[in-house]
Amino acid sequence: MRRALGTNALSLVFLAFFAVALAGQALAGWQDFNNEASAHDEEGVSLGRYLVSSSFGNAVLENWQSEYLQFTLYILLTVWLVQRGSPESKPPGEEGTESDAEQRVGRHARADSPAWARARGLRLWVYSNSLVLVMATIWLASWLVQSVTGWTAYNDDQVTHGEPTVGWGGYLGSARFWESTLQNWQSEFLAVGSMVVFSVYLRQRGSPESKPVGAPHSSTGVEG
Amino acid sequence: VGAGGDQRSMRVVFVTYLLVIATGLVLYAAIGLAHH
Repeated sequence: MRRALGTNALSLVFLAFFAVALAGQALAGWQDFNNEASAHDEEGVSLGRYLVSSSFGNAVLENWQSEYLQFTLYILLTVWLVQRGSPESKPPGEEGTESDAEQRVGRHARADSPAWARARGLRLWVYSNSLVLVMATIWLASWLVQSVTGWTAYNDDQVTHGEPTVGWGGYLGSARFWESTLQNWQSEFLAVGSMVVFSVYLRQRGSPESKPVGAPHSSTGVEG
Repeated sequence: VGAGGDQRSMRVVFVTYLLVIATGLVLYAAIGLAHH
């Protein structure tokens, strides 16, 4: 048990951070929701009711979708695009999906390779792209759910203000939907881009996200 | 505990993350659609 906790510490700590931050968001969001309600002379809701509201779901999902978009793009773009000096990048000249031998697939699979790395055709293609396929699916699904919960919350606001409700398509074309989407995208793109560039010149001793402290600025794709 | 236990615990965290994400997506999709 103790060993299992230790060997999975990174993913378990992030899961715990997620749970604590989500609980904090729920409490703060509930308070804010009820403050808004009392400002409009409306009744507040219980915490349980707030947790199953479109308003809370929308706030959660709009952040999920941008994070998964970020990782989807990062995984995909680093196949073909390089940044000289970055440990996050492959060395220039190695752009592309690489040979079967380098990727240890098909007849180049080894004894300890996953079974699907030995497969051919569609199964091999699916497994060869499974990380991006799953991350992209979560991105698109959470963006879709963001749009549905946002649409419901938007129409609730419209009703409160005595204005006409809109259809889902109408909400997809609304300024509210695109503002909530793009405000998350811009921060992700800046953070990823800066990580790629900063890691050329800056170091964190002991982190696999950084080059070794003594590695030259020009060395690319070397993780410490 | 050995390689088998390590494999099991790795699978448990993998499936836990997938379940958390799937639960959030399905729950809020249902909640968002229930109003319409």
